[in-house]
Amino acid sequence: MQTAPDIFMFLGRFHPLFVHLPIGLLSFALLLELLILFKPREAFKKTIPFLWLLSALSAACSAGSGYLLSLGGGYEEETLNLHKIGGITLAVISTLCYLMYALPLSFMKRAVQPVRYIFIVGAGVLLVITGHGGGSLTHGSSYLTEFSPLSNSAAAVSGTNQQTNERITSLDSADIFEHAVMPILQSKCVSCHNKEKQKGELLLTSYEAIMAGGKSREGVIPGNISTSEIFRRITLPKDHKEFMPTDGKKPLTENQIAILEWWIETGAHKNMMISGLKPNKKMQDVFGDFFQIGRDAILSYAAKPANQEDITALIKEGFQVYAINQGNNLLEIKFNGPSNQKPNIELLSAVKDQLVWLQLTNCSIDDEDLKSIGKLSNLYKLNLNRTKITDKGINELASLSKLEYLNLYGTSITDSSVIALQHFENLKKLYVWETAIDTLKMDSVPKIKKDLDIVYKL
Amino acid sequence: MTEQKHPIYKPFSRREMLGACKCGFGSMAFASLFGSILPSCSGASSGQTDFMNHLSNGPKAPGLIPKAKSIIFLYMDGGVSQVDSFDPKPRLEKENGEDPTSKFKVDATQFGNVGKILKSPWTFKKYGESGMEVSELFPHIATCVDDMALVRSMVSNFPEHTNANYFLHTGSGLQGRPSMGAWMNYGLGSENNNLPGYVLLDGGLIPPGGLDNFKNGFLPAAFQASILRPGATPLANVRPIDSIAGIQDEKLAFMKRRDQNLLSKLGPADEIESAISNYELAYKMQSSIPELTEFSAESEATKKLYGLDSADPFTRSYAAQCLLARRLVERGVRFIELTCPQTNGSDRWDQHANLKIGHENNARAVDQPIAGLLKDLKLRGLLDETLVVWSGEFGRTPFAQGNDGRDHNPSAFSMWMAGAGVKGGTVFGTTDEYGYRVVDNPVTIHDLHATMLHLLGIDHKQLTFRFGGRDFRLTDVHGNVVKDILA
Ligand code: HEC
Repeated sequence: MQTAPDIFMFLGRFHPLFVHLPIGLLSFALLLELLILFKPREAFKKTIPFLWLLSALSAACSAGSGYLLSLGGGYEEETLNLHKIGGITLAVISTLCYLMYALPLSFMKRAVQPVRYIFIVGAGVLLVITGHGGGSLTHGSSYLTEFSPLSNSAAAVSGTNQQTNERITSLDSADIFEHAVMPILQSKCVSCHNKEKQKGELLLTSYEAIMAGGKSREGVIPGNISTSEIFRRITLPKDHKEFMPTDGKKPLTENQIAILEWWIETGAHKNMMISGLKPNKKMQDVFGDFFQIGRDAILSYAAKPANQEDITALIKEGFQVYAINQGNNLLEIKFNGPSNQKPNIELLSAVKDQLVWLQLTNCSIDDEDLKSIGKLSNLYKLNLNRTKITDKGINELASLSKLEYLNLYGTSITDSSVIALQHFENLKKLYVWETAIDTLKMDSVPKIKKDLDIVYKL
Repeated sequence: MTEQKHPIYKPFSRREMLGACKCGFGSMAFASLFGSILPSCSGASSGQTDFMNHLSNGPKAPGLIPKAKSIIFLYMDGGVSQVDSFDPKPRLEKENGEDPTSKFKVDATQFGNVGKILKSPWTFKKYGESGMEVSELFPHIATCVDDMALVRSMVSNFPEHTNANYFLHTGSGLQGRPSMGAWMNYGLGSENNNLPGYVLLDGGLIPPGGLDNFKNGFLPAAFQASILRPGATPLANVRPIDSIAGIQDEKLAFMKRRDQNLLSKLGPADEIESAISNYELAYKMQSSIPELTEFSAESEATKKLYGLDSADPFTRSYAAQCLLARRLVERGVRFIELTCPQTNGSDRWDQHANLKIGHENNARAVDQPIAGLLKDLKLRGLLDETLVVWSGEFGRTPFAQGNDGRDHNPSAFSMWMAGAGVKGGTVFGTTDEYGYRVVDNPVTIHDLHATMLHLLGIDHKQLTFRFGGRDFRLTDVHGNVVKDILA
């Protein structure tokens, strides 16, 4: 559709420069019109017509350049039309407002005044709508509200992409398209290739659209990376004018490129588990890195932020509360003695969703307390070293399905706990030094759970 | 010019005014960098100004997922000889006594007294499942190789102690930059309100370059190292000197009032705010330090593990430092550095002569305590969240200085790490057949710093501090995380 002459496109590109002028000038004019109702100062009266003139001129320039820009195409029709009509109307209204001051109309003041007010209010409303429309066209319709505290989209919680909620723990359960290709395009390309902003007439939001490609050719030709336009665009030199993503946006990482390449080479499948495509060792590593398989799995989750009051209550009770890292809202909570004390662990249930690492050490926590600890279902690390717990309570922890690390050194648990704990599915590390276990027996009896590292002696 | 009302009272200059205004945005950026999450979580730090919370208390959440919560840096002052410790070179044996200048290009050395090729007086053996080779200097550390990642390809920029020490500690060869421990505390804050976040366990030898190796530089003064000496009084005045109860409290309260008064006139001033927080911390340390250095709760087996019962007084001394390091880690202290005991007078590992005796004395002092530390951390589950780093400032030449010494060599040396996030049993990088230069995968001091920060959950490129008109980093404009040694 790019039939517009280059000079039009050139002038159109000035649109982003011009648009900010009428926004500022109109706002100022509206503000003065409002002020003058309460404080009819002479200076205001003299300034207002001039402001309307400037507003009208700049709005006209914006509308003109905007129209030229729209000829280049690639914008969602509906939003574009609204924006276009809004912009033109705004230019017209500003001009009329100016004319009402400039023309000798004082003889019919009574008739003009109400019309003027309608125009002024109208200009205000249009300014907001049109401005927002422009924003949606360039940045996408969710740009404004994405991080608003009122929005409950996952993006506001995790800060980035919506896909992270479903964690991939093995290549057997990872779909090459849905879990790898789509999230990559989502994070690096979709901001310019979506329904509202279809640059190069290319849509990258569904499998069919990706295959179909944009105005020049198919996006992907299965099995052939050299003729797949999408692959060509991401592997050009970074300063090439056709390199994607454009505008200095963050390029794809080596891993991301490797994944897209492998996907196309293996036939650009839609519904296919990665393991089914027999990745070689190198690709297994690439995917392992990409999905962060085997790496602090739970820490890649994002939870909603904990309630500040709950945290304050915990701190009052003597707990130390730390954030695991920025952005994921997960918590580490510590209570480090003294040994004759026991904190009120019921309080912990309030932050159950965020609590992933709990350290209750060197204090008088006992079997009874393990009941409530067993309900803290997000725990992946638990330290109960040097507490009063025994074999009796251990099974209360069986409900902690995410538990990977359990530290029980310096307690009075025995071999029977170690046996029970080997049935904990995800447990990888178990510390039972200085307990009542029989170390000689531990040496000789083979482990039930092979991938469990039991630390019990030097 | 406005008349001055007070010796240090001064009106706002235009620059200060702009600076103060911009702080609003600056602090927002800071908050987004380090996560302002849980600003009120800093436990019992009541009565302090917000600025001081930012200064010394209240942990800040790291940007990446952290592996390590604390770092213990075992500083091998003077430069351990790599070819006698972790980098075996059979060729030295074969060519022992031959002229090195006929074999390879010899760089200028500090003393210019280039002797013959000198074989290692010690033999090497393979240890552990990984089969890592370690010399007989370190029989105890050798039992921990499967927890260690060894880098044989370290390089430094300086062939002389003072600059090399500054470089290793601050990322710059010049005096005056913040020490890595200060950077890490600036980045993450302390998890313990009663102890400083950066503790130097002085084994008896402060390295060349002096205390500037451990300072805060341009970072707020509260981030500098607090030094604990070996022996009965780790810290001056750690027991209150006022005989009448309550007098000290009143003195402190008075000083705080005066300081705060001044502060309210001046606006934020690091010197005063740091002084206030330092007084408060010092007060808390009067109870936390005696508790920390009291070993009676440690079992005999533990003390033996570290070598506290050793016949060698230097081993006992270093053992106590190592045990103290573990106790500091348990208490949430971020960065702990150990310097060497005075085994060879003031010669540290710097054996320009008497290589055999000198290295043996040093090795005996540190070997068992270090192994004890690694094992004790492991048994308690602490090695999963603690990074232990062992390094000198450079290596030594494979040829002799005179007859029985080795000169400085910044072109290759060995360093190892163990613990949190480290791939145990790895050997990374290679040196040439003489162990003189790195031939493969060089690792710079900046890379080491970047890796340490990475394990703490900090992106070294994001940890900046604006000073003198530009943003500074520990890694300056360098540094790559050494991914190959990470799990
Ligand atoms: C900043 C906006 C932006 C981003 C982000 C972006 N593109 Fe584009 N893309 C464009 C524009 C503008 C065009 C049209 C001009 C051109 O063809 O170079 C285009 C065109 C294309 C075309 C050519 C369509 C055709 O058939 O002519 C492909 C293929 C493409 N992009 C792929 C991608 C991929 C893959 C990504 C993600 C890595 C991406 N783009 C990210 C702006 C963007």
